[in-house]
Amino acid sequence: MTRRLRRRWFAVAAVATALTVIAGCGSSSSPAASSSSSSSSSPASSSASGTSDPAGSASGSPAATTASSSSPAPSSWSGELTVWHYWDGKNADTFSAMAQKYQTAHPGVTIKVVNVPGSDMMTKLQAAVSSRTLPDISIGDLVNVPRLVQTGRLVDLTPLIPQADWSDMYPAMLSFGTKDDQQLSIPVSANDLGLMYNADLVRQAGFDPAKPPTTWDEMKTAAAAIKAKTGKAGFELFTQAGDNGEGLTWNFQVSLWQAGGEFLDEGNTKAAFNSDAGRKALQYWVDLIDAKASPLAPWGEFEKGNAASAQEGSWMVGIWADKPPFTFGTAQIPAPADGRKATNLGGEQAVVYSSDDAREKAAADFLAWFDGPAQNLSWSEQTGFLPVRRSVAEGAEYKSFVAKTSPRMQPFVDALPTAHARPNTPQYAEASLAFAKQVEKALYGKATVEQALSAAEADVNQVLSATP
Amino acid sequence: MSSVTTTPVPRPATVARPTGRTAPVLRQLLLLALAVVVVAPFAWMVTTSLKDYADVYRPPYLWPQEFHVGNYGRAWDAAPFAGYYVNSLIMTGGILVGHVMLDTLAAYAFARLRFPLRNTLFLVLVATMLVPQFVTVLPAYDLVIRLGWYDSYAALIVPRMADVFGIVVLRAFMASIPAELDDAARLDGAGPWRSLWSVTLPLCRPALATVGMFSFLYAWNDFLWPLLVTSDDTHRTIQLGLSTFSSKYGTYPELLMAGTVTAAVPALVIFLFLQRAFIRGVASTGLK
Repeated sequence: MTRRLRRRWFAVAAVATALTVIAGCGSSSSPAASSSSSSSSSPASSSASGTSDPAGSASGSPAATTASSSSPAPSSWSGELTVWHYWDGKNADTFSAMAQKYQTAHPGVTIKVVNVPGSDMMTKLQAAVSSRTLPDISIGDLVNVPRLVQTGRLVDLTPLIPQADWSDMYPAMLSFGTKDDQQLSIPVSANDLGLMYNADLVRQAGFDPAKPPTTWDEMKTAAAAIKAKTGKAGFELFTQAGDNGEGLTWNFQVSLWQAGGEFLDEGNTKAAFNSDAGRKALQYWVDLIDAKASPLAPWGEFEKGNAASAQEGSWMVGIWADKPPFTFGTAQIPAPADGRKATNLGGEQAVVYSSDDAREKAAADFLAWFDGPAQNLSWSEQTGFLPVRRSVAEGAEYKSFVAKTSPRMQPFVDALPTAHARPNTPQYAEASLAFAKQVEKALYGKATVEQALSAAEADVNQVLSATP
Repeated sequence: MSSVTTTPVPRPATVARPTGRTAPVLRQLLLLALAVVVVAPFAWMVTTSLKDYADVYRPPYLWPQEFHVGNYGRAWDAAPFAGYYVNSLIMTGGILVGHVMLDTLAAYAFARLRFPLRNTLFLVLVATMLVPQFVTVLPAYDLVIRLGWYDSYAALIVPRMADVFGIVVLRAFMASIPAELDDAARLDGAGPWRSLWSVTLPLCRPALATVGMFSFLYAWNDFLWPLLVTSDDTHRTIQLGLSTFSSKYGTYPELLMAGTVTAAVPALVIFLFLQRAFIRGVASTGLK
């Protein structure tokens, strides 16, 4: 009995411990996709902000407990501003150093920088909304901004940030936080998608790595040739919806925009992708898969060296800068010969939560400083994020910096003006998943292009018609 | 797991002779296969933690051939892990003590004492197990904020000091202990406290070990609650610290695994320790 029990015990415990370990390994393979995973697992609903709060403003935000003078002028305001962000490593260090710099220049203002795990930022913010423990500023993925707008706790930044700053930023970036004539978020970092390719494999297949494909047809030819000569896939597509769909959706949107299509209609009330452009884009993907030019596998084949190219985010240039797993090159994403160039926009945006006028002003002042030309330049240079200001991105100083230190970044910078924004609607995460689930069927040959897009249209329209 | 222990019983007839020889071999093979299934993730974890970033997705997967021990140092430096560790130990310790104490008291009451509505109350208690934790998280969070416990050890420990699972396990175990032992103690003049402490508890060691281990794993691995009630590094736990390595901009599998190995060590140690206590408990009580 003892021995049997012991054995059983070991098995139970070992499995339990194994689960522990596995639970710790969850990683988000698709950047910008962290949005919906956290929301679905948590019952946190933003409607909770509607309930009255007996604790009231007396308890305020945790940051509000520090001494604050009641003087309205931002220059003489003193106290502590809490900022939540999810950056790590070098990005986090650089941000902290810049906050320190701001403090030195603004005696009396302390910036308390708090790192919040990225995939759980929304869970934490939603819980904080319902119990008044919001920070002064939170910096998070731009796709989540519409959901933060929905909380009704964001401050209109239009009057608090100089007009000259607003007009220097890329319009696509500003679309996320726009509500009526208010601007409720401010971009602080940017990235976009580009074509990354494995120069070794490309060379093996007999192509010149210095001349990547620029059109869809060239890409199809090259990918098929690479498959034939190296046995490896030529162009990895994001083919699986997974549990939030955004990895597939935001990659596919690039092809859709390139073909001249749109994802949703103007007011974000209806799906717009079931169009000629949508069919053309999806057909492009299906053709690549049918020709075995793209693998039907979980995302990551290119990064593992099993595919010759993929659409990758600009941040990969920085991640691979020190120790590239293979020689790689970058380019703008091939577009149809009769289409337009396009890429998808990612990055972080900051929002300010309502407190009192002086405090809000002080928070906005920090953000205005952070996005100033000099800061945006050094921030972009040190982190590898793309500049949010047109004058910085196109300025001589940044250009020569990129040319000198990481020329592979240049195609991503060049693509910025062609970057589109994902729809500014709080239902986007749900719509994205609904879309990806149907499109996945076409990629796996279980539905035709027409069937998949029609089904996706119906599902997305249903998501959008539901009251948020 | 029961399939592991219930081996096919060979028929006692002479025909069963060859089966009697092959059965142990089959059993060992089965056990070996299961052992591989259990051990492989650990091996992968350790091997990955010793690899260079560029080699993470290349073989070998299970047997380390390179030893970038520096990964451990880098993982440790990437975040204030020492502080996370201490916080995890304090939180887990508090919850563990709470569970063992409070669950025992409740279980004893339900198993031995007589009071009105005893069974109804127990049913209600069991019914709460049907409510998913996620449903109660927000109200509990709100309560913690109103108590002014946000970002404190109290918030990490107090709301989770008792759990129904432990009560159910301990009550079932106590019910299986002959009531005559209690009666004998009472004849010797022992009250309920004395009876619980000197008679029931020593017999409950195996069940306490079970509850203790599950409590430990539950507390040590919890993510959502510590995430919500802590504001920054001063009270964060190790599981939150691990999320540092799987960020939006690329994960660092080798550092994540180095951190995970570090975080899993106490779980393994506690398990081995409790396993011995568990065996001793069974052996010394003479219970089967």
